[in-house]
Formats: sequence, structure tokens, C-alpha cells
Amino acid sequence: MKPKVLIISGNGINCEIETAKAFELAGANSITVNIEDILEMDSFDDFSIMAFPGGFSFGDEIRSGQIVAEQIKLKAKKQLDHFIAANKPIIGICNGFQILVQLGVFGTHLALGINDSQKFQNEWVDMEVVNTEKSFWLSHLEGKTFSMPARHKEGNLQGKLSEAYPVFKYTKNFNGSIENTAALINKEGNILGIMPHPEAALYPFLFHRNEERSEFNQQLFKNAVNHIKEKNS
Amino acid sequence: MRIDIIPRKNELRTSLNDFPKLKELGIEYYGKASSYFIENNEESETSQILETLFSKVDQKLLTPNLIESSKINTTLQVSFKPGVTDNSARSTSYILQKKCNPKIKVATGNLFFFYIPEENKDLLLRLKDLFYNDLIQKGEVFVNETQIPEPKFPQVKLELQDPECISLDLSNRELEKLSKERLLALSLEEMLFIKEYYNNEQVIFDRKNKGLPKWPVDIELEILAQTWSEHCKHKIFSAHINYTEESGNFKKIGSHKLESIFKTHIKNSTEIIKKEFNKDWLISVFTDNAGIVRFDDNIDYCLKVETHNSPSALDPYGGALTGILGVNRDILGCGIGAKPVANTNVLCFGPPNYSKEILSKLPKKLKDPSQIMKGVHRGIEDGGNKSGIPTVNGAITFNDNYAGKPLVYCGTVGVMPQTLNGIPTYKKNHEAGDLIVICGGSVGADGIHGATFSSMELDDNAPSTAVQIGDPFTQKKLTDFLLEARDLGLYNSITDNGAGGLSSSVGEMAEKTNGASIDINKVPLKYKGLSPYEIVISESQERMTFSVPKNRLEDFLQLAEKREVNPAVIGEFHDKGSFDIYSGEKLLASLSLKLMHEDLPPMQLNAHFEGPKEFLPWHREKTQNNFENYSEKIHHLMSLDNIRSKRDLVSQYDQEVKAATIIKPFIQKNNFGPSDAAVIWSGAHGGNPDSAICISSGLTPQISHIDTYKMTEFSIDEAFRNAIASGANPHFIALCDNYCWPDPIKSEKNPDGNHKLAQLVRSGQALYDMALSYKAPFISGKDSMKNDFIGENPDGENCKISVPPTLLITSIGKVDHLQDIRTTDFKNQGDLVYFLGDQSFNQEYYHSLNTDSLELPLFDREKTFARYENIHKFIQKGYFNSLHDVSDGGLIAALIESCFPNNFGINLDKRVIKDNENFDAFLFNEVPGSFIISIRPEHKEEFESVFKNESRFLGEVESIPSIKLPNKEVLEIETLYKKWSHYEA
Repeated sequence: MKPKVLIISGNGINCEIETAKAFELAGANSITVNIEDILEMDSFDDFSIMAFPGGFSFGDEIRSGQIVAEQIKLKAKKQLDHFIAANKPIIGICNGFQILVQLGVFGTHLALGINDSQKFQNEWVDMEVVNTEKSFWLSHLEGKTFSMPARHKEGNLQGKLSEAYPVFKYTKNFNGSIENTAALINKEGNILGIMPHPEAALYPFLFHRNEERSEFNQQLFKNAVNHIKEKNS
Repeated sequence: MRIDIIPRKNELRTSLNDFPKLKELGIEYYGKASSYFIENNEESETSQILETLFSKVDQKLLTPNLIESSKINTTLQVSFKPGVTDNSARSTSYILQKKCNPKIKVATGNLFFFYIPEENKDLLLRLKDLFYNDLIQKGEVFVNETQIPEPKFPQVKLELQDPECISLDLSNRELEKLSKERLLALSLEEMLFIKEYYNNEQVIFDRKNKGLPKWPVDIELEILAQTWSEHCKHKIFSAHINYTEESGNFKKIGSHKLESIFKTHIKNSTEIIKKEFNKDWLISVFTDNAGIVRFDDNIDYCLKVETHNSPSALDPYGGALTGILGVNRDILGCGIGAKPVANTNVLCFGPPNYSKEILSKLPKKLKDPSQIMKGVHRGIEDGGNKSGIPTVNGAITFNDNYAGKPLVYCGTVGVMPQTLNGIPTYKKNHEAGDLIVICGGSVGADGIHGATFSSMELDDNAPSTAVQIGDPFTQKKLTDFLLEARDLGLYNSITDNGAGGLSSSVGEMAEKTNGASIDINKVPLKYKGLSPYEIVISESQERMTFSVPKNRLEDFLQLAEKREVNPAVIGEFHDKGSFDIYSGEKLLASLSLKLMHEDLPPMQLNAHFEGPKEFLPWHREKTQNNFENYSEKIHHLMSLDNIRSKRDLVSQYDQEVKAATIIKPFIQKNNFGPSDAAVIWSGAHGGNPDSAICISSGLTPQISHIDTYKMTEFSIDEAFRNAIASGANPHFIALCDNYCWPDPIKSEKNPDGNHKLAQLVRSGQALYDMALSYKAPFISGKDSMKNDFIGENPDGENCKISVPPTLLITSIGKVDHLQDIRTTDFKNQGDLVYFLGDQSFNQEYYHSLNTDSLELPLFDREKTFARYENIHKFIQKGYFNSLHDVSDGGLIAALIESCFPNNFGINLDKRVIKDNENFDAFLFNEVPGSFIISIRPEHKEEFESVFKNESRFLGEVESIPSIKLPNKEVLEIETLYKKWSHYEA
């Protein structure tokens, strides 16, 4: 049986299709559900993986990710906590990462603020992967340099990294984040939050020059799917 | 309660970079706060509210102490005027109502902090344009105050006006006055036509039977004005024209009469091409909101480009934002609904760096072009990014005569499955008996008279209701709902609410069934007090009109409620030949559809071409440049506004959401380099995984004053050539035309109207000729005909600024295989570089550094198209490592740009230029049909044998990043790159 991935959509999220495809390419079965319907669910236990895709939920008003985070806190906190406690994989990409930060899953002393440039930036970034031993998300990726598009205005990580590990670091300062952090893993190693978009760089022809590094991005999604397959076998 | 939040980083510290103009005046800017004004909250909810609105990690609450302990002596508070869309307030109140109590109301604003020296105290108000737009926002200045009072909570108060009957028993002069005062934009002839209609005995009899007065009620007159506006009806494009031309040195098209530019030139050429060249991939042209082509086995693509010029002149941010969202809705309303997958935008502004002297001559009502650019740019950014649609292609063009009215072209590409539930998706299937349901935003006074207003020249009395701010979030929710409902087959047909509001959307759909009736009491309103006619013509955004069969209504409404898209059943389609407007049971107005859509007689116009004319900027000043050597000249060229990189602006657009953008606006390697076109992967959208589509554009208004015939040829060629350079198949390219013209109707205010109309006729003729030569059908288009500003300059003299006649061509082409895709950058050291195109370098023509010339390069359409076919055959064989079109800046600019991304260079041999040739012509002529290309050395012979007379070897790609000219001058790529990337340096 293919692991089932819950892909969150609606309310301004807009990368759900490519995120769903990324997991399908990795051998999972993606099920995309509108956030309003998710808030009505009693539990997420039917699913093995959860993905919070990128986008502009609620138009990025107040602060990116904040309003969806508040919606979840109001109606789905218990279900989500239960899912996290079961050590199941969760990924938040860009706006999804912002939602997870606002939910506090990486600690309460963190925020993704406005880029030092004060601007939205769409640019391909190179990132080194570190702390690969902390999570199944990063299996087989040690020492690799990743490349993918970053597309955000609020990706400037500020605060204290006491309850999470940086796992991807921009090779040059992109937005002002502490320790050049582009991605975080929670202490338990099951939640990955990443600002740039691996789901937008899964094929060589989407790179500026055809590149085999697209495989690293595919591997990221495969790692979560394989983790579930191994657990279930 | 008010809450003001400032960033923790650099809190209340000067940052002079944001507003260089302030620095010149000795004003210090200390940043801004985001302000929330909250009503109806309980004391006990304060901590919950604070916790929702701000994060201690990187933000701080503003306190009077903070201001007191700083150097700040002046605070500017900006808030929205009543009725203006406040997106931040909408999202904030949504969550606070759920979290705290459902009565909470929120408004938002900003505080800006300054230190202003005593002697410059009044300066801030003069600079208010930098911070807010007083058409939609309120600004209050507080001096030496630390406790800023809350602004009055914005609340709309309107007096409800009952529909009134408007007697047309008036003199000609009074009829004209009525049209102007009510912003109807109807001509005297049209007013007389209406008067005569209502005087017809049969009409009087029918109206009496319906219980309606003899003369039209305001609703009817307003609907006619919307439907017949130039914006909706394209009267000039349908006019009967008598064309004559002067003798002189220009291409003659001969005196003639024609019945409609649209039918004769545009539609006709497409029909001929479709028949003669068997273009069975043309699925739907000129009939729907967008043109539809079949470039794939599984999906269809549609394309639409719109303009949003007048709204962008009044409120650049809101105008551009609603422009993008509006054209997205055209795609959503195409067939039974397509999904927008890519946006384009082409922007024309006055120069961004006017000197103080020139700015002081600008009419007071006009904004500094750099301010307009800033606002429009932000609107495009939010419009695309917040909708999840990548902005993939575009251009920014500067010309003095766009200072009166900017041009904002917004385009969207959509995809749709070819069939759904066994039914073709391109057809609209509504029938009499279907219910009319609207979904999306509610109706307010914003956007009343948008269509008629944009059909007039801009003057000092622009109404603020014509301005609106878009709400991408509401539209995104509407989009998600619409596609869900479409796939479930919950409706029969759909169209968007754009110009003219319900009067246009329902009015147009009613044509198919031959009638509709609506009840204005059922239309959801933003606030009370709107008059019936306002409800019918309001252009309030983010609304779609659906035709829902009765047996699907329950399911439709259920899903719509669940997705929170605010559905309302407002009426029903019928077949009685009229558009009826009720208030409950009472019939308020009824218009014959025949009158609305058919009866109006075409305009009779004269066009006379006076020949090429010198270009005159509105301020009448010309700059002269003298250059020491070619190095200086070329560095200057690369830094010209129309040539330099726009990457700093474009990088703020999300270009890659949906993970399908193969060729992005800029190539990113060691340096950035420009792309010729966007290429979008079909596989991401349910199409063939090995194919793609190519989107490109062409625009050459800089030569319009010389001849619009050539301008049109060159614009079409540019769009087409960019597609060829990127790998599109020349036999699968479709085009879209967007005309933005200065007023082409002669009048007292517009004495050279006949010449401008002749320019339009010549453009239409060239469009026809080019389409046939390139076998490239036009599938969609739009025109905007009153792009003039009329007002007073600061000396109180009359001042008119008209845009140069501007034609944007957008192309959509098929890329058969991903391996056919090419980019502009040189790839390998040792590759051979050629100029490919017409070889006449004997004479300098008009070009970016030779703008006084009235001579344009020769151009052979048939030969050029044959060249493109040969190029494509080579591409299919896997040849060509790069192709880049030669356009603004000529051969040398294209060569330099091809070197940028990989930091290559080239050594131009002495032999590249022949003795009888002109070196400036060689470097700078902007030759249509030509490219800079590079090939692998082993393809040399085959290449040279096929392109014998049209290629010239320039040199080899070299690893040393410099360009050596034949006269031994050396240009360093690094310094050229700094000049070109200007903003970033």
C-alpha cells in the first residue's frame, strides 16, 4: 500500500498541485483537502504524512502563515498534536513553513520576518545540508549542495534555535536569517520546515541549466515516503 | 482600540535609502508602523488580540515613550477612506471574529515617522504622494505629538436614490450636457439615437404595457452607456472609415474605404489563415473572453491580454492589481472555465528619472512617472504572487509621452481539459430557464463608471469611485471553488464581472438565450444606500456570474457556502428578448437586447495620413549626447532605460509557482541575462510531458511617429521572432493584439484625429499583411482608444499629453519537444557566433542612439518567415547552442547580453565589417528578423550553406570576458554588466 499524504489546500495556499505531485513521484498517494474541510476532521490518523504547501494564505495579512495557524489552534490543535506525537512526517514549504513556525512546532522563540531586502525575492539559491543525522528526511543526502528556487518576502529567520536544528544553510546570505538558515528540523526529527521550494525543482529541465541535482530534491520526498514504508513493513 | 507595531530590527532608526527625495530636503525618515484600529472588542480580549497580531520575537508595540525618546517630530497617519477595499482588515477581522467575538470590526493603516527641520515644516504635505493616494486614503500629520489619535472608523453613508426617469425631450446641447454630467461617454449621435428609439410608437406602447414610463429610467440609460462604451463595444474598430494619404516618402497603402478595422484586418486574416493553411488547432477565436488553441493532446490553452490604463493612472497600485485580477477572471470565464497558469505584463511609463526642471513642468494632477511605476509594480507583484500564478513574461518601456497616461497591459494564459463529463469545455451551454447566480465579493460604490470613464480622456475631474483595490485572496478562493464546481458539472456557463459589472456580464450572456431578468434586492451589497443603477453597473471586483440549471442549484449553493464565496441567486435567463431589472416584484427597467447589442449604427470617420512626423516629447526638451569613443557610446547604450536590466523589479514577481516555468524571465548563471520568451511545461498542467508552450511579446512604439505600418510589422515580428528563438514551431504560433491609441476621432480638442485614425488604419493593414505572410492567426485582442491626458500645466496653460500609438503583440506558440528549447546565453568556449538576418549595414536607421532619424530598416516578410522555418529545422536537428533576438540596442546589445550569463567574451575580427559599410549601422541598427546565434564548430559548413546570404561570422565564444571591437577598443563584460544592471549596482 502506498502511504497516504494529506496535502493542505485552500484559503490562498497555492503550491498544492506540485507538492502533491512531488509525493506521488516519490511513491506515495497524495490526497489534497481544503483546509476548511480539514478543520472539520476528527483526526488525521488515516494519513501517514502531512504537507503544508507554499502560497499566500489569507493574503499574508498580519504575518505570513499566522491566520491559518490561528485557525488550526482554534479547531484542529488536538488532531495535529496527536499526529506529531505519533512521529509521522510533516513538511512545511514556504508559507507552509511559516504556518508551522506560527504554530510553534519549532519552539516559541522563532519568527520568520521580512527579508533584509524588504522585498519579495524569486531567486535560485544554493544550500548546504547539515545535521543530516537528525532526521530520516535527510537520509542519503550528507554533503550535498542543493539548488532550488526561493520565492518569499518573509523568510528571515529570527529568534533562538533551542528547540530545532538548522538543516539547510544558504551558501550566501540570502535574506538575513540567523546562521543562514533555510530549513529546520524539530528535535524529534519528524517535522521539516523549508523556505525554498524543492517541489519546484524535481526535474533537470526546470533548472537554469539541465542539472542532475534535481535528484537530491526528489530524494527529500522519497525519504519521508520510504520512512513510512519501512515502518509499516 | 489601536495597536501599532514596529519591527524590532532597526526600530525607529533612519533609513534614508527608501526615499532619496526626502534626503535632498533634509527630512529624515524613521520608518513606519502597521496600525490596526479595532472596534467592538471586550477589555478581556486584549491579550488574545495582541497575541494574534504581533510576535515579540521580531516586533515591538509602539509606545509614546519610543517616539519621545527618538528624534521624531512629525508623524503621518494614513488610513483608508470609507468604502475602499482594506484587505488586511478583512483577513484580520475574519480571524478575530472567530477567535474573540463575532462583532469585532477592524480597519488598518500606517504611521510614518520623520524628523523635519523647522524651516521645511510644510514640505511633507507636498511629498504626500510618496506615502499615500488621497483618492482612496486619508493622511493626517501630527507635529510634536507622541500620542496619535485614532482616525475616524471608515464607514460608508449613502443616500438611497430611487430610480428616476430621465426625459430626453432636450436640445442637442442639453443632451450632450446630460451625457457628460452623468459620465455616460455617449456621443450626441448616440444620445439622439436613444431619443429617437424612445420616441418610437411601438416602443412607447410596449413600455406602457410593462408599466414603464415613456422616457428611459436611469438604469436603462446607464446600461446603454456601459454596453455602448468604447471600452465594451469597440466602436472605433467597427467604424466605417474613408482613408486617404499624402504623397511622400513612406509605404503607400492607397486611398480606400473600409467597413471595420476589426472585421477587415483582424478577423478576416484569421479566417483566411484558418482555411488556407488548415489550422485545425484554432478552437475558439474572437467569440469568448479569450482565444483558445489546441497545442496538446489532452488540454487546450487560452490567452487573453487586457489593459488597465486609466485606473492605473489614478491609483497605480489598485489599477494594476485589478488589471491582473481582471484578466485572470477573463480566463476563469473562458468556455466553461479555464485555469490561469501564467501571467504576463507589459508596462509603459514616462521616464523614471525626470530632472527637477522637467518635473516642475508636469501638470499638477499628474504623478511623477517613477511613483506610478512603483505602485504599478507592487500591484503586479501582489496580483500574481498572491493568486499563485507565475508572472513569466513582460517588458517595461519608457517614453516621455506615457507621462500623461501609463499603459498597463496584463495578460494571462489558461488551460482547460478538452472535454469534461463528455462535453466540450470551450462552449458556453446556458439556456433559458437557468438561474443566474453570482459568487465572490459584494457590490459597493467602488468601480462605478469604470467602463465609461476609461472611454474618455483623463482630465482633472476623475471620479474616485472609478478606482478600486483588488482582493487577490477573495479571488483565489473563488478560483478554487469555480474549478471544483466546474469539474463536478454544477453549472452550464460562466462569465466574469468586469467592465460594466452585471449590466455587461448578464447582458452579454443574455444574448445567447435572448433574455434575462434580475432582482437587484438579491445582490449582496457591501453597505446600504446604493441606487439600483449603481448596483447594476458597479464594477466591484472578484465576482463571477454563473448560469446554473435548476436541478444543480442545491449542490452548487452548498459547495459555494462551504467555500465561503458568498453565492446569491439573482435572477433567471429567459427568451423574451429583453433584459429586465426588478426590485422584488416591481419591474424597474427593461431594455431590448436588440437595442443593446445590434441596433447602433456604425460611426462614419475620416482618416488622413500626413506622413512621418518628428517625435515631440511633451516637455519639448531634447537631450544631446556626445561620445568620445565606441566604448563610451556602448556603455551609455547598455544603461538606457529601455535597454538596461529590469531584474530588480522582475525578481519580485513569483515566476515559478506551479513548477512549470522552464524558461524564466532571466537566465541565472554567474550573472543574470535576459530571456527572449517564457517557456511553460505542459506536463505540469495535465498536458504532454515532452512538450511546452512559449509566450513572448513584441512592442515598438518608439517608431510609431515615423510609420505605424512598420511599427506593426516590427512588433509582430518581434513577438514571433522571440518565440522562434526559444524553440517554438513556426507553424503553431497564435497572436493577440492590444491596441492603445491616442484619441483617433477629430474634434476641437483633438485637431489631428484624422492622422491618428490613419495611423490606426495603416497598423490594421500591416497586421493583416503580416499575419498572412507569417501564417500566424490572431485569436484574441482588445483596444483602448482614449489614451490622452488633457489638463493644465503649472503655468495654467492647456496641456495635452497623448501616448504614442502603441500596439502590443503577444504570442503563444507550441514547443513540440523539450529538446527544442533554446536560450539566449552563449554556452561553450569555442562555439561560433554569427549575426543571422538582413545584411544591409550601409545606412544608419532610427535606433536607440539615433532617435532623430525618420528612416527605418527595410524588411522582407516572406524572406524572414522562410528564415524562421530554416532556423526551426536546425533546432529540430539539435543545432544552435544559443539564439537571441536583435532588438533594442542592435547587434552589439544582443551580443553583450549573450555573453553575460556565463561571463564569456568575443573578439570581433576586422573582417566583420566591409569597406562600404557603416560601422555604427552594423553595431546599432535594430534590424527586424535578425539574431545573434552560436553553433558548435562542427555545424559550420551546414549552417553556412543554408544561411549563406543572411549570416555573418562574428567570432568565437571566448573565456576571456571582454569584447574586442575591430578598431581595437576593448569592452569589459564586468563593467558593461554593471551599467546594464544599473539598479543593482
